[in-house]
Amino acid sequence: MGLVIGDIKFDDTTLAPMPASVIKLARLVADPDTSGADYERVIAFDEALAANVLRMANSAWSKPAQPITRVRDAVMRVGAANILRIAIGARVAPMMKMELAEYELEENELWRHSVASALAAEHLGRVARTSIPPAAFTAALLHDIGKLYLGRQLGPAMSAGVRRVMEEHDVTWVEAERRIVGVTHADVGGMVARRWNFPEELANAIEHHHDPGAAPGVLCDTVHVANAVAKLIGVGIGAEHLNIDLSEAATEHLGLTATGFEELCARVCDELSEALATYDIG
Amino acid sequence: MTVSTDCAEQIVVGAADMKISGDPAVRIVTRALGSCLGVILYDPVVRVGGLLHLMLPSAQVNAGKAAARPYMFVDTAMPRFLVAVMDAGAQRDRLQVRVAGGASIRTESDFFAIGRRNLTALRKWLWKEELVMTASDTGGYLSRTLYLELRTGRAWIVSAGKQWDL
Repeated sequence: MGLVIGDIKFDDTTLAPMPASVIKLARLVADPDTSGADYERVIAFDEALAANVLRMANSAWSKPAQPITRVRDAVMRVGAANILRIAIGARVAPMMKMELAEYELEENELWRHSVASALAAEHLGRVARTSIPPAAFTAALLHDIGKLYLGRQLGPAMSAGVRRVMEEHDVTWVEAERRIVGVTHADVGGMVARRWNFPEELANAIEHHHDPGAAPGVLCDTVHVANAVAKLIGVGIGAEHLNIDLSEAATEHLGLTATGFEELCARVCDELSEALATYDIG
Repeated sequence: MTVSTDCAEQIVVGAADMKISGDPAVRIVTRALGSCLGVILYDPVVRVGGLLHLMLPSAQVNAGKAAARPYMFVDTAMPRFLVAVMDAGAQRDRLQVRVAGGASIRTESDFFAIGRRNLTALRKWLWKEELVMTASDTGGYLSRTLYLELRTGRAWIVSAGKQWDL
């Protein structure tokens, strides 16, 4: 069955489901009462994931004293949150690395933008006066997943229409999408996340990453700010350019200062190459 | 500091970096200037110049980072850039200073308009050093790509499918 939003039916031959292991991991990460053994049980049923976790445990990032060969040791070494990132990265990276002409995103640009946003979300805790939930990395990594589906659905003619409305009416790209298509890439992203059975909070953060006021909470505010950071440092600019809103309420909720914001931009720019290498898994 | 003397057609400047050349066959480019600034220093007599891609107004946000990545910040990048261009043969009183970028996302708060803050910091620095900004194309929400051709000193911007001289 296709994915239907408003009047649009999305072709779902490309909308392969998330592996069951990813969904289970997402729920484990969101639940504070889990142990290493819970993760191990999930990973044991997914050979590809086990191989990737072992790879990361033995990577330059991890720097083990001796080679790690048991999944149990690898889980401890890599950490629960990173396991989910590896699992999701392996699933979405190949799609996100493709060129997305409708959004004027060259090969690898959407992936770079997603990883930069995820890094910003992760580091926000260090510069803001709020503790950032572990799901923030995943939510930020997936926040633009709707662009893949809407882009394919729109085609070049529709994206030209969105650009025209954006320029003529001086509105944000996402508002122009709403006027031309009836839905936005954020709406579609939220639907995709729900279809993948991700926790509702995560789907909400993706759906409202351009209007965080509609999904009150740290998670959505974090994704909203993380997207702005990636844009400001020039990663994944595309047809949207910098034409997005930054909500003052979101930055206030997070207790983010101008200096903190700038430090975050510097940190993400600095660490992006390494993060791309760490999460470049397949 | 990078002084290029080879005959490569195009030299690309990454974020928080700069490139300088006196080779007439060279063209220097920096892409995806969002809130970042592309700064050109060029001496039209000796045809030596460079392009700097800076990101943030002040190294005060992170002194450690400034030591490792001096070209990231206006206050640590500009002195090094100026000296490097002069070391490559340019004369200070002949320097053209051209600036592009500094776009902003839509925000009510000036605190987060890094593009504008970058530009303010750069203007202050230039004023203090008695250097004149000879051309600029800044602000708005569009990202820009900036080119400098060493042979002619021509600089141009490509943005949203359009191209114009700076």
